[in-house]
Amino acid sequence: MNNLSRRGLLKGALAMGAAAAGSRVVGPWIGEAEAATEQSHFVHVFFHGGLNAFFAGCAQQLRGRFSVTDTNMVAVGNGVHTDKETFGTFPKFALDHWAGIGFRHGDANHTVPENRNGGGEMAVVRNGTNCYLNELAAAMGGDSAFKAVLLGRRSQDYGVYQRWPAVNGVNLQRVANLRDALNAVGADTPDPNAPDRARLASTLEAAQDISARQLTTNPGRLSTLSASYDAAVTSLRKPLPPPVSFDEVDKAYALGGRSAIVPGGATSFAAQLACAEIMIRAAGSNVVHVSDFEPMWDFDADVNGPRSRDRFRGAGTYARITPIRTFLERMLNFPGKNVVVAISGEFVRETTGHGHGAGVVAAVFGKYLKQGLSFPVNAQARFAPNTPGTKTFWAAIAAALRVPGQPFGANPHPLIL
Amino acid sequence: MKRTSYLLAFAAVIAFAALGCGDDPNSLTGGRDRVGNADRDGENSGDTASALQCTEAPVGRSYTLFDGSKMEAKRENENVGVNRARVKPFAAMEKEFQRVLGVVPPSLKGAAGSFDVPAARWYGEAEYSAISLHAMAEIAYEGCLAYTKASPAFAAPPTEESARTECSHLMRRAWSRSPSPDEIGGCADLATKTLADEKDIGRRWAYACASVLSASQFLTF
Repeated sequence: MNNLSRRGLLKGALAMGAAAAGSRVVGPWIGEAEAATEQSHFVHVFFHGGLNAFFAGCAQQLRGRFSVTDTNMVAVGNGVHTDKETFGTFPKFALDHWAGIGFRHGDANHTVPENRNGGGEMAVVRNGTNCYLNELAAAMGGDSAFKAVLLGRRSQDYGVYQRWPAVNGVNLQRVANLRDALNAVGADTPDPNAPDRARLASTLEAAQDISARQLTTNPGRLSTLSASYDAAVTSLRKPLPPPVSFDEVDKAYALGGRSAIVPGGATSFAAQLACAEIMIRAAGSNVVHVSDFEPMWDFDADVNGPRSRDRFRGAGTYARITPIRTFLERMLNFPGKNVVVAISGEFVRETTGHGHGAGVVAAVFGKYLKQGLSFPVNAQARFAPNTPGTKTFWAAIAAALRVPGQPFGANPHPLIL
Repeated sequence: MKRTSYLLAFAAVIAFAALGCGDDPNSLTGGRDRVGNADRDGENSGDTASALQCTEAPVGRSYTLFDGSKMEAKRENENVGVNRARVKPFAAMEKEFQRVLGVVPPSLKGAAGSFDVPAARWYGEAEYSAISLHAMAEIAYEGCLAYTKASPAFAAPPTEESARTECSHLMRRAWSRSPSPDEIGGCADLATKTLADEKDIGRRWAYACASVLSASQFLTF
């Protein structure tokens, strides 16, 4: 049997199947990025239900609303104001490189099972039939086996968790357990009873070959499985990465030995941030999406009330600030890497009605970001009419990541160094 | 009398089955070669599958959804045997390994967190990522190692003949269908050629076994 030709045929057939299924034909702007001396990585921390703009840098504009006062607000610099007790405790390097980036996506509804193709979450992550996350990861190039990673799982697969078409072979790969991620990339101390990595790669390659006929006749249903064979084999064939142990991240993020990312789990949010660190350091992932969906960050019943602030001040299951701070401390200025972190959500919270805004102010941190605000909200948490749309947010992220070729067009946010 | 009732019931079932996807039994075009040839069987035969399409919308009940739309409006018209495979849920794997290998890999217990098991009272369609596939391949290997060490059939190094025999037996049992010569060859080649430098005979057989249990035919239904 000719393995190479069978694998080649399979890949060709699957590619045709994907095209037939309606996946977007990517333009010339998506391709392998030029090799850079400094590898870039993007971590998107997304709060399903909304992120109040006063956290993201607009506390001065919203003073007197949402329980924001002169006392509990801190001036970060260059117009960036935030909550002192929460986002204001981020490390100095993050505070010094904090860009509050506003964009108006125009959808003030939630992305929920009954509105799975609309709503704020989809307005942030969807670009036509594609997902910005794997589009960005594809544009960043590089040789990671796991270029775009999605952590955890929601009770139903909607919003960012729906199945997206691959972009130049880049799929969103889910990670449900930190230990599995470490094993797959070979970063932790090897288990003497585990199979040899090279031989397991051959085994999975044979399994994919054996599966060829079924994968070909199920181009929609099994496209993810097919891509998973490729990525798993590629990962197993790579040289071992710099070591990262579970013990190290367990201690740093106070996981208490828990490695599974379980919706609503006690340390699941911290585990997601720990996993983001693992995927950057060990797998060299380009894009990691951290979605916080349980509990939902929606406060309709408390429009203009203190709940946004109270929730972020929570501890235990609701602790969010400590894991983010830990990640920023450890990764934002990691030697030889350009790590960009964006904290965003479905929409800003307005002060009247349901409180759903039609856009987002994202707090973006990174070594090439300049402190300041771009298109902030006003005292009612509303955007100026000239506020640009979602694509410009991704254009700004691409610029901060030094992705060549402006994959999402020109960046109108003047906060990139 | 009783016998007549049985015959009538049987005839009704046959008539119902013959209706196919519409009222007109002729709305199914093409044929289906099922005469003992795995390569031509159902999903595996591209030309047959492409010919088997509904040529008219089926007449059925209409259901109005909460948003006012009709459930049947989004009904897919896929070819027969195409895009039907679904990943087995994690909850099924314990009995599946027991059925095929006679043992349950110890690491399968407590591995639910690796496989996106839905929360209680929720349903989630199972799916593999590269990382969970890697985890399942390691679990399969562990089970296969116990399986191959327990059987004298795997005491000697695999030969072309013994590898084809054992791969074929395992595939038939694991997949509940007859494998094609190419599929058997993929497993046998792994055991006899690709991993020929593996000195531990049990491990070499275990890799070949794990290739069968990591294939989509075992991971899906």
